[in-house]
Amino acid sequence: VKKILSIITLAATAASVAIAAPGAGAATPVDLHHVNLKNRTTTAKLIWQPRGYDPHLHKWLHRIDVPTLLVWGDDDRLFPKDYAFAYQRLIPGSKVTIIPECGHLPQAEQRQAFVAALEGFFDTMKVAA
Amino acid sequence: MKFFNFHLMPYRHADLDAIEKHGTAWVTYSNRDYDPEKGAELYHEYLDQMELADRLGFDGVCLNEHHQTAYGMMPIPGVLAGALARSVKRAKLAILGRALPLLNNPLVVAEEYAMLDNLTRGRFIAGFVRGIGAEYHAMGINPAHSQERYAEAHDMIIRAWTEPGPFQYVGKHYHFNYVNTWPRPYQKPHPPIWIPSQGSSSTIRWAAQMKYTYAQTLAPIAVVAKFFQLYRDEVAKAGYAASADQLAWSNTIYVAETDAQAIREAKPHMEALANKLLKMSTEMLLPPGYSNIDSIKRIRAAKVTGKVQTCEDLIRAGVIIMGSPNTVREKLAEYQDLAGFNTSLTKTQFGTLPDDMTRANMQAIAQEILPHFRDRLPQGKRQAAAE
Repeated sequence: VKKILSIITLAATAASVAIAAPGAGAATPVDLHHVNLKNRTTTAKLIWQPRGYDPHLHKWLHRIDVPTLLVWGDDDRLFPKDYAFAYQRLIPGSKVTIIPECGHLPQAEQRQAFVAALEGFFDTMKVAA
Repeated sequence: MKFFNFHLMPYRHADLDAIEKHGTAWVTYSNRDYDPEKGAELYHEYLDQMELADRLGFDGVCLNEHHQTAYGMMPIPGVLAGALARSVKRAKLAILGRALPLLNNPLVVAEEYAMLDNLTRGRFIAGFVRGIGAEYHAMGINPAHSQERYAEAHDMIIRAWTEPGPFQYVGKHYHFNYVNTWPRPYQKPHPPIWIPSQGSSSTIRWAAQMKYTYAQTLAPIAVVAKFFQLYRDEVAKAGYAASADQLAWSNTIYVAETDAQAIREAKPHMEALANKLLKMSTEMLLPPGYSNIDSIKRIRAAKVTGKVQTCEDLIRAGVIIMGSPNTVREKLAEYQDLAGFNTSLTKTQFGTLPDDMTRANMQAIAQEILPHFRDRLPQGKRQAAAE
C-alpha cells in the first residue's frame, strides 16, 4: 500500500508557499526579496481572516490517517508550540519535533534541523514498511 | 483657485503621552481614552467650523473616513455629511472617503451618496478610496483583495447611477440579482468623483483616464508636482482637455501676523498630528497584499522612516504652509505654479489646534488669502498640459 505522507508545519499555507520558492542552485539567479514579498501577499490572501487559523480544524484533524510529523519552531510567536501538541492530540499516531532557536519558519530558519527531522521521520517509516 | 475646508476631525483631547508610549493612535490604541462628553463637544465644534467655512466663502467642505483611531472621528462620514447637508448652504460638500473594499455591500455607498446629492441639490462630491492599510486590520478585510474589490465596487456604483435598474451584477467579490438604486443622484450623470491617494502611479493614471479629480494627500510639494505631471501626461495620452481644477493638493495652512508667531502658535498642534496621531508601524500601514510588489519595492527603496518631523521641517519640505499673510500668499502661489493645481484642500484645524485658534486661522485665510487666489490659475509651462 502506497502511503501518502502528511506533514503539517505550523502554518501549512505559509510553509508551503515558502517551500515552493525556487531554492539556491536554480539555473537563473533568484530575487529572494521578490519571492518573499510574493509569499507575504499569497499568505495574506489565504489566512487574513480569521487570522491564520481555521476555527473548524479541530473537528477534522482526527480524519488524518497517514503517518504525520508536526515540525514546529520552539520560539514561534505567531502560533506558539502549544498548537503542535494540540494537533498531536487530535491526529492519531502523530509525532512532534520541536526545533530549538527557531521561529515561525523552520524550513527557512533552521534548514538543516528541519531536513534532519524529515529524514528521521522517513527512516522510521522505512523500518515500518 | 478653489478652496475646500478639509477636516480630519481628530480626537484632540487624546492622551498624547499614552499614544507615544503605545506607539500608535490606530487600531490597537484603546478607546478607553475616548471620553464621550468631550467627543460630543468636538463633533459640534468641528461641524460649527465647517458651517463657518461656508459663511466665510470657502468653495467647499471635505469630510474624511478612518476607522478605530484617535486621528479622526469619522468612521461613518455620511452621518456628518447628513448633518451638514442642510446647514452648509452654499459650499460644496465632499466625502473624501468611503473606503469601498471595506464594505461587503458597496451598493450602500451608491444609495448614501445619491441621498446626499439629492439633499444638497447637487452640491455633493463623491470620493472613492481604498482606505489606508490600518483599515484592513480594523475591519477584518483581506488587504490582498483590496484592489479587486475597489475596482468592482466602483464599477457597480457607477452602473447603479447611470443604468436604469433593475439589473443583475455578477462579479468576483460582489453579486446582486437586483441593482435598482433609489434615489438616483441629483447631478447628471452623477456627482463629480474625486480620487484621493498617497501617490500610487496606477491610481493617478486611472483617475486621469476616467477624468476624475485627483487629490494628493500629505506630501512634499516637489513630490506633489511630480505626481500631478504624471496625471497631465496621462490626460495628454487620453487626448482630452483637463481643467487644473482636477488636481487637488491636500495641505495645511496657518496664518498669523508674522512668520515667527505662526510657527510658535501652530507648532505643538502640527507636531501632535505629524508625530503622534499619524504614527503607525509599517505592518499596519502596508499589510501584505495591500500594494502590488513593485510599489512595495519602491516604498522600501525610498526608505520612508518614521523619524520625528518638526513643524519647520514640514514647512521647508512644502508639506504645509504657515506664516504671515504675505508669506502664505507667496508660498501658495509658488506651489500652485510649480505643481499646477487649482484646488486646495486645506486643513485649517490640525492636530490639537483648539477652536478659537482654528476660527481665527479660518478668518485670516478668508480675508488675507482667498481673495488673492479667487481668479488665479496656475502659471507657467505646467499649465500647457491642460490645453
